[in-house]
Amino acid sequence: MNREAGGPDAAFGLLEEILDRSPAAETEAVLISRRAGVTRFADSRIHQNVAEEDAELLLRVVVDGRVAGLRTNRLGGADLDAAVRRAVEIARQTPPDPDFPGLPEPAGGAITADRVAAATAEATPQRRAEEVRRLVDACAGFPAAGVVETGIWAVAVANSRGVRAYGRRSRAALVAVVQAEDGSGYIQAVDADLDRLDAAALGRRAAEKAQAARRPTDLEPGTYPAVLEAPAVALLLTYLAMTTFNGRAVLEGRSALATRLGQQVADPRVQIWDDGNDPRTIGLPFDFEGVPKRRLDLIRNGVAVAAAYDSRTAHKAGVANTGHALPQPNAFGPVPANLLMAPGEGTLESLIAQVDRGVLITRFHYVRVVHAARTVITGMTRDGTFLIEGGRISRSLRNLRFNVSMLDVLAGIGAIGAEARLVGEDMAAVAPPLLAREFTFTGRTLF
Amino acid sequence: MDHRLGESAGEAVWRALGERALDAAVGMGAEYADVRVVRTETLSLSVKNGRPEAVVADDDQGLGVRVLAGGAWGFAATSRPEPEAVVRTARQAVEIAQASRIVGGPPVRLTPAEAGAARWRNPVERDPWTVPLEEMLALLVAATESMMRVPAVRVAEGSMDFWRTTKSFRSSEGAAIEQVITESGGGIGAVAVRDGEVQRRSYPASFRGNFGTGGYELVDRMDLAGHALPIAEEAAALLDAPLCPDAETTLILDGDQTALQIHESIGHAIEFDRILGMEAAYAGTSFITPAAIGALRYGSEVMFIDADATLPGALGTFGFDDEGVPAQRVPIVEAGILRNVLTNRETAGVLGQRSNGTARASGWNRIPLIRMTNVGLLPGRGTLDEIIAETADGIFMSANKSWSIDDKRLNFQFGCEVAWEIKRGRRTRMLKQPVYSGITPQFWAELDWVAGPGEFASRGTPNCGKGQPSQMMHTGHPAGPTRFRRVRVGSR
Repeated sequence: MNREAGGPDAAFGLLEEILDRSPAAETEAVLISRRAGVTRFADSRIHQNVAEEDAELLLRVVVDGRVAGLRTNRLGGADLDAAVRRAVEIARQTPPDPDFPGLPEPAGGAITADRVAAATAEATPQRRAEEVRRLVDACAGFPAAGVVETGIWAVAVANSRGVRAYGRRSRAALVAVVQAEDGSGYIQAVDADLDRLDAAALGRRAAEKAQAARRPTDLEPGTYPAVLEAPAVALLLTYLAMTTFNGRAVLEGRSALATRLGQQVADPRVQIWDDGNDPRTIGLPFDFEGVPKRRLDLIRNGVAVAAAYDSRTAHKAGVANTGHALPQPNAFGPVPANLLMAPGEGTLESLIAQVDRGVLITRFHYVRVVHAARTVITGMTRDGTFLIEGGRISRSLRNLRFNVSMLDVLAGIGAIGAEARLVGEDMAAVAPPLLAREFTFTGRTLF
Repeated sequence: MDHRLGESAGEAVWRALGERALDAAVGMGAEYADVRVVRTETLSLSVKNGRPEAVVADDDQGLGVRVLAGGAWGFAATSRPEPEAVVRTARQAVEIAQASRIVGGPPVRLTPAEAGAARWRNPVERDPWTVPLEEMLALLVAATESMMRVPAVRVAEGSMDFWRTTKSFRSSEGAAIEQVITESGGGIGAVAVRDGEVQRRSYPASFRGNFGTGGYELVDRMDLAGHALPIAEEAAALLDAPLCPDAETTLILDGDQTALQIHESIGHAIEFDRILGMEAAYAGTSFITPAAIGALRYGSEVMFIDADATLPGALGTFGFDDEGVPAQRVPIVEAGILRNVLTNRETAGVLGQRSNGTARASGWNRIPLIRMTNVGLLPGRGTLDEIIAETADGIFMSANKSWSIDDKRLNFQFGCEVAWEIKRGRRTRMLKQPVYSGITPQFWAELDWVAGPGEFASRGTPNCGKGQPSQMMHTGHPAGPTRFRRVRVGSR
């Protein structure tokens, strides 16, 4: 038996065999396979260098309205039989779930979305190391730390109602923090195609920022205008995705949208949507229930217009399933994981030029939700925080702690930059830089 | 019924494959190699408002080969239980090590470690995989239904999580170590909602509860059903509570929040790989420098911190780390002075020491990194009630809600679910949305009271993130209530 989702036929063949073996009233089988390499460097040398291959099966079975899930990467023939039997046994011991609406019905024919960049898929450890060398050599002798990642993954979904979906993607990412004495600078780039990442140019930019960040000085905490570069904006978007646009949080009253759906929550220029079909997101055109994704507007002209749902939360809320299920069963709820924010006009420099006295933020660190219903988060600035005076960067700043409402930041936008790009390390979004008219810093640190 | 996935008929096969991979790696030129075969079985139960929301079992197994070749590291991992796959994986690990030398530095030198054969498993009174699922789910259903009796409670959650990790470690130095680690825990939470206001209370700790090494007896002892109604009533009462006022005041933390304070502002800061810059681009570094070890005043004279991987029942307990080094108890802070940091075989030599046994990997497909074991305070004296009684004016905070700290582990802000005002030695009105902030060594310098052993417990953190690719690790934190002077508090 071919255990890898090397192509849709092989994957569907395995999954259909499992569906055939299952005695459950309804069965969903998801095969996730991946091959990845991660080369880490610190102090300008490679210190951790790893590769892995894995394939896992996720089963969801329904017996008399009772639902159970099972995940395993033990995919031998006898293992699969045991897994199906065990999933059914667990379901039989679980109380019925009246909120479970049944597995999704197919929305049409099978979905197949195979888009893999050869340079990423075929990247060897030597290639990743050469990218590290290009980056390190461009850092003007300053020590660099970071990562070069390459990988491909495939997801295949089949259920007993006839859903069939298969998608395969590649992802390459490059991150570096360059240390120039007491200043540090950061770059991050992610793309489906490793050939589109220019390690030398990225290294030069990080080194330039690190040098500009030397000799940081204190800024009195308070509320200032702030220019957020794309990595900072992307992080705000991903926190909104998890806490605010999550349909489960809306249902339970924990999201701001529980009380503000249909209201003006952001500046009229703000457009935020989710689209797994947009090639810029490296997303898949279906979710982990095999439900097709379409563009889902979340904030349109500054108005909160929708949240994301999976089959269970959509049923409970009495709304349409938007196709944003995480692997099921799942207690976290649906997440729009392929967010985009529409760009505005002007360069990063033009945003800075609009600020008389404010702060330029390269990236955030250790962001956490403080009050979900009010979209309040806290975190630190990191790797390039600067004072803007008279429309120009005047000096480097020691890192600052902020406490802000994400929706208040979007409501108080002064300008949105023109260049939106995919950025983000754990979860990515297509984000432009933006100028927030008010950004509240509540403390500072010693570096 | 035993609802473990499949029988472990393949264990002997996997061990043989591990030997084969080890031989292959050495045969291809590795000067050092180790192979870990790891199987992790989990069971995760989530119940909401009396209904099962996610009942999920997991069974994950594979093999990782780590080599030093030419003084550089390489690692490759596979879940395919086939001779060709593991030999290919061993070859890949060696090739990766060779690629590492393209941007190499000084060769990696491992400090010596005893290499022998050993077996270890933690004590388990009630194997969670033999407890009837109906019994576990009935408890969670009853607890959540009890919380729902409070009208303002919109969401009542209960959960349990169990892990069994079976590890086999072989090294080219001759180590052959087998371990089975069983971990258990659970918790409940009530979310009260009114007019867009949301307040939560949890028991015995937030974020899915508390965890330790052991079996279902850990859940039995929690009495989740007995605590359901009181925490639901507290969540509802918080809706009408005033905000925690902005002030610089005396702060008393419960054991749960003290544990998190230790985790974030001590545990991560003393990881020697962070101190040496190995995590600089991702999780960050540390305010501690190698020269500070043995000299830095971390806190007040009542501050004693150990990292103790031998502590029975705690979540960071094991027999051997993932480099085969035996579990140890290491004094970290004595009377406020930093004495030691957490090391592995690669880094300990910088300090002229041997590894103190903290290298752990989250699974077969990850390399061991320096991770906290059970990093916690040593008990002091008295009870929480006595601390409150001897506090003229202050704030008592309980149950973590949010946590954030900068990338050198200095500036932090933590939020708790609930606080109470302390006036003239008495706990008075309840306060909501409390936060406090500080700078690590300045904060710990203000520690003036650590409660006695009767108030101590180990808090398990099953979601400690580090590394790229990401690794979630289980750590433990012995702690009890603590008191700090001159802390900035407020509300968010």
